[in-house]
Amino acid sequence: MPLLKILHHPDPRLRTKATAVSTFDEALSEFARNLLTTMYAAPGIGLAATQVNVHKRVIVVDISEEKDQPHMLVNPVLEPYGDKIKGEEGCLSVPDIYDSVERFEYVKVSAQDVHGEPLQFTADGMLSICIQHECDHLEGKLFVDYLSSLKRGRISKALRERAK
Amino acid sequence: MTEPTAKPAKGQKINVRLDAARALTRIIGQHRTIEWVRAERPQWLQSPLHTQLLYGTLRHYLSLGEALHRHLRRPLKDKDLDLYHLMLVGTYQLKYTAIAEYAAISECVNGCKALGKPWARGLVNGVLRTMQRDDNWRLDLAAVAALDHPPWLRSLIAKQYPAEADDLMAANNQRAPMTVRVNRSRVTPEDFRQKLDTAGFEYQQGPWPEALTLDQPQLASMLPGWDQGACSVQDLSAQHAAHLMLSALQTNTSAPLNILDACAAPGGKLFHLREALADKGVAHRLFALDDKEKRLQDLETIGARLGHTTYRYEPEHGLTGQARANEAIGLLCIDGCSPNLPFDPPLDAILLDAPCSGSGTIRRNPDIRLLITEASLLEQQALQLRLLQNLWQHLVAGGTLVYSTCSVFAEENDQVIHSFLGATSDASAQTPAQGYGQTTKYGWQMLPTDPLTDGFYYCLLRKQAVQDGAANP
Repeated sequence: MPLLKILHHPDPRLRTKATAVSTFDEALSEFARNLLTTMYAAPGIGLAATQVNVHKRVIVVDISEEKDQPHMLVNPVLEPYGDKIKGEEGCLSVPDIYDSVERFEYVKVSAQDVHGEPLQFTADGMLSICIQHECDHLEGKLFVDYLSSLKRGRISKALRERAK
Repeated sequence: MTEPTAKPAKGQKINVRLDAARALTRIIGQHRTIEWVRAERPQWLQSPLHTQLLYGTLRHYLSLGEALHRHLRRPLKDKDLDLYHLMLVGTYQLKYTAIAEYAAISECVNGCKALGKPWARGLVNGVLRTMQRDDNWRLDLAAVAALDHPPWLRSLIAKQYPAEADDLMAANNQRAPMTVRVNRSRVTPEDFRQKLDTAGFEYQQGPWPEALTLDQPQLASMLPGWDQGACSVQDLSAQHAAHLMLSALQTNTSAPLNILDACAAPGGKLFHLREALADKGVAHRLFALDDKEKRLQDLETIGARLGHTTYRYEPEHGLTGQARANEAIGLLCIDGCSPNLPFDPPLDAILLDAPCSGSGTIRRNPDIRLLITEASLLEQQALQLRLLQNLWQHLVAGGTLVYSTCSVFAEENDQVIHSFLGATSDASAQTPAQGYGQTTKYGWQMLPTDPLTDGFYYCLLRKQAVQDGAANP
């Protein structure tokens, strides 16, 4: 099973808005497993389909230390609530850049699993932050968008230079 | 998304308080042990401060917890156990260490962010600052060791040791001594003592030439000749095993004695036995079992350092087929309870250092007091009895079995022997008591209040010479 290639900012394909998944077949399960393997190998704690140039609403997340509590979410819908909290974030598509971003403390997640079964849960702490971060990808949004234009410019420039 | 703690930037620092809190959350929340942390998360115990904070907080977990609770306006939610532990590590530092209080607190506050709970910074800061200003809780905590034992443990100690209960619990909160066993196959005790003297170590001589108790515990690797296998670290109580075995052996036969260590890993008593048998010139073959392959591999590594060669015992070659007497130790990965133990002809002597609660080593392993339960003592008891009964069948008539545990509770000691004797007609028990500790109905109980020993239990079981040999497999 080959690892998927992760796109790097400022790749315009990262700005694509993903479409909903309607077919729940073996190909979808396999893609989700590939996505998870790619995330673990990176290593990361969350990865969205958008980041590997597949524009379907699929994200995988695992914040556990043992890497044994994966969430594979299809068509996720979020209802964030609670206070805004600030936390440090990094992104596999924005390598080696870390900055503090405001997110909601809690999030109510409604989604489907890879077989199309509906699931619902509430997340907080790092899991909440990570799910919000991945769902942003499905909208074509990156965590750097929350930073000041000065910082954003600096980051784009640094990454462009590194890519050369 | 990547983990914020993966940040490699210049600002990255090891947060010892955070590491300690994470280790605590594994131990308390997921019933892991310090041993697990050492094997799986060595970075959480990478410095002496790491060890001090984790061990110290575990030792005083319950009493510090009470103090902390009084300063929390409302209890934290279950999912915030990591935050609770971060504050507890802070509380430990305020009470028991000389670490500058502002530093202790600010490091704990910084830890919140890495836990993904930056919202808690104010809470952690507020609670710890209040505790810093308030001296009452620190005075309240003045040396009441009983408070650091869960209530059931407290009452069991009081029931079994009515006269010594307070001293015993106080001893459980002390730091353990460090005793060294000179490897007599490598260096004479005289030479080793000289090396210690030259290196400036102070020590007391134990009851045998090879036992030396250091005045100040040291890193083992700092001891003279450590890498060359000149010595091992082994508590005095555990060093009795080899000497008891030696005193019980019938050494007047000319054939080499076949001796088994039935729960051998990590091999301390096994290698000591090897060194003692060689020193006394007793012809022997040693065998060792453990049911975990990984633990046997660790045993091999330790053996290699000490210069004790080992081989994998293959039963089809028989007891004598693979190694000559007095040479390598035969290792076998198998459960001592297995019905197919490959020992035929039967063994001359068996050491059964049974798995146990470890209640005699609480001062060494402060997690034990929080992890064991009354039910777990009875589970251990059942296992100990099964091991004993199974191994007994492989002991030659007239042979000796040394039973030991590092527990202070009768459940794992006299009660096991009592049940065993009740069901076994060809066994008799002999208490090997010497000098200190307590003589029990069947055995010898050492306590951590005894000079220089952990809590430890020994019983010598002798198999009567029966004519029909019915107990042999």
